[in-house]
Amino acid sequence: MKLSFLLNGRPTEVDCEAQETLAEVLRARLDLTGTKVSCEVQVCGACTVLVDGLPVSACTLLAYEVRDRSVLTVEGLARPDGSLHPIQQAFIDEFAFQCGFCTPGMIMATKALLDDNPKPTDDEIIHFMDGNICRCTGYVPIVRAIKRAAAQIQQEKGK
Amino acid sequence: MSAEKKRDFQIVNHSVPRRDGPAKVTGKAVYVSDVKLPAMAYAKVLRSPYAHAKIVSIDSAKAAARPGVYAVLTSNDLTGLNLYYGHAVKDHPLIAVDKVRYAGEPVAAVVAQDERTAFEALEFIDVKYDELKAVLTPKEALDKGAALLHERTFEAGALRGFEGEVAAGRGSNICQESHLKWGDVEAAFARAAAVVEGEYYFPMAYAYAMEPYVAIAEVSENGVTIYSSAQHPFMVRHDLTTVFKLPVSQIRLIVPFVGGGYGSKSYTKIEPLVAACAWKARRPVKLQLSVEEAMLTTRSDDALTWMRTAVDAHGKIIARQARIYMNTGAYAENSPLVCEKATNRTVGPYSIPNVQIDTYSVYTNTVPASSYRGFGCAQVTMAGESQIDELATKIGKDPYEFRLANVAKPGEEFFPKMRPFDGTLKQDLEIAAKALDWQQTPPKGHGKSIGCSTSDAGAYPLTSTVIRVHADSSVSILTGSTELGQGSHTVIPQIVAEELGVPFEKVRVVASDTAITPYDRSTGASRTTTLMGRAVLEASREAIEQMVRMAAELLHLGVDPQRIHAQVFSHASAGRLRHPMPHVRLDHPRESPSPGYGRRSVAGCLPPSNRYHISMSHPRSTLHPSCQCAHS
Repeated sequence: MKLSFLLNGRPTEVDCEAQETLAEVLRARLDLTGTKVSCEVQVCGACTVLVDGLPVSACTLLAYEVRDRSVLTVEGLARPDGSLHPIQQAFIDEFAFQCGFCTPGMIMATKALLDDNPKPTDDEIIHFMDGNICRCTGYVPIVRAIKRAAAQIQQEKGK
Repeated sequence: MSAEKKRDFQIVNHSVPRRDGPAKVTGKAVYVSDVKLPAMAYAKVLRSPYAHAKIVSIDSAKAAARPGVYAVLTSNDLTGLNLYYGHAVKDHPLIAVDKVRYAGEPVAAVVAQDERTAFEALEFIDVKYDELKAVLTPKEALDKGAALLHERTFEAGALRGFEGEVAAGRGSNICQESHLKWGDVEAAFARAAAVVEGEYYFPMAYAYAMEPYVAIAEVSENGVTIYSSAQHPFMVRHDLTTVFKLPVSQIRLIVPFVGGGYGSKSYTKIEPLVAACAWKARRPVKLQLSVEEAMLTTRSDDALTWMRTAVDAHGKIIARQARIYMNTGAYAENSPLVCEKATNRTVGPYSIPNVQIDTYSVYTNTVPASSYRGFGCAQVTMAGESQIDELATKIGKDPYEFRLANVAKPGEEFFPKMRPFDGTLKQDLEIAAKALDWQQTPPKGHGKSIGCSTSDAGAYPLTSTVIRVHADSSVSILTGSTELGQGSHTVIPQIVAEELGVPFEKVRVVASDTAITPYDRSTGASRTTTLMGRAVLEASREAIEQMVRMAAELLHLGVDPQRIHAQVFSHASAGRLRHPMPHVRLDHPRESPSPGYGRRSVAGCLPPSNRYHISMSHPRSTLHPSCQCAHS
């Protein structure tokens, strides 16, 4: 079947089977391998992408569910000039990753959080990020990165 | 060493951005799961539903005939390969042969055009089993008349020091024993002021690296190439030379970024199976396990520990005795070493005059156990430190003070045949107690405790590297250390840039490709910075020496080689050379020297009519004043 949707701001049309998940379509058909697959049961958050701005586990969402909707993946975060999004930069600055396998999901979940709540408290961050697992256990720098990103985004808006 | 400590470092000891940062935050970092080879097929594995059973027959004809299926692999069609591999002992068949030893063991694999087709074909494989009695715990496995997992002895694997020691096939399920004894334990317990005794069970655990095991194999007349999520590619290479009966040069392991390991990706896992699939299907094959399958691949050893510990009237620990049964599962993997480490770590960081530890690693019909986060330590430290707390309570002492009074001091030789204790535990405990506000009673519903352990370092110091200094003074480091997230690809170039005096940005890492990078035994046990770091440091110094020597030769300076060596090293270690690298430039003329020489020849060998323009400068060295020359 033909699937049409907005992918990282661009109209996209792709052939896929009815039983394929969004993660499969992104990774195998569109070569967007930034979206990682780990638990495959919606627990770990590695495959988090935004569908119409809301965080979704791409590993368990059937691809056809995103027809005519807007999907944002980690590949679509950087600015048109290629510079990093403040969330990506904050993860680098705070050393908020080790192996990096959970990082795309962490970053997309952070985007969803900050779009909804631009100045989250530590508790709000920890609560919201509950669905994202980091087995290198670098949670403290991740919380720091989210706060740094929030501050940076606020500062840019104020300009 | 003191001279090195005083160095005013420019790059080392400074926080630099991680090399893997931009790739990892943009989704561009490549892990094996992201790799796609041309004409690549996909494998799925049929696993045993029984913990212990004879395989009566396997009929895979229906599965093989399905559209999109390229091959079905069972132990019946692997003639020509050696099916057994293993780190400590080669007891592990790459696919079940004649019987299965744990629920989840691979029995067959389907190779197909895509994962879904392969998965769907699995249910068309008909396997008939004859179920055997299973033993699930060491206690059951050691009972008289218990079913045996392994009926024969096996060849030793690559793990040094275990040749012939693994007990498989000797008529019991004991895989490995480890014993430690000094002093007189019985006498000490007889005169003790207080004793605690208990039994402790530490459960099995799965490491859950976010990236489950994954590998891609390609087999051709040139040998076997494998992309793998392995921590120790060189050890996997060794196992594959056994399986394919090929020389080392014909097995190539490539490890890109690894999505977490924690020891669970040490040693060989699915690589022999995926390579056999590629061999049978005659095309590249990818095998990506699910997390559920990864749990059926490796776990940590669970342990049942009986232990007693004694103190004298002055509060000094005088004796510890333990008997530990570790559950290694169906295959030995690294558990013989886990067994030995657990034995050593049972003593704890205490100076105890009377010790007896007896550890048994036992085969059972469960998932094979292996390394995981400081292997062997958590299993026994839980028991040991519980007893320290209980003893302190029993003699009315504060558990923190009790530890302070008993921990080994730096330089103390408390463990026979090992180097003296090199930790500063007293200070460490003080830091921990301060952080915990130890003297304050915690609020209701809260608690706090303090514990410590010691580790006999687990890494064999076999590491090598190549540092390649290019004509423009940029540098490539060839290293077999795998980037698991620990930052090896950042710290290694930091050391090299510091030592060679070149900008950090000009130093690149080429990593973990056994066809290119020199041998590195493993990436684990926190060894990369200390061992690979040391290797690149020494290689950098040797590179300086070689360049000085080469420049001296080209300039006919007639410098005594011994003097060069001494100067380079004394300057480098005293930290006096900010830019110790002599600039050796080979400038090519802009035009091709003759129609016969294309520009292609620039890499590798220089056309004979090129002019060599050599400039050397050693700003703070009296050895080589700046000089230039040109000759044709």
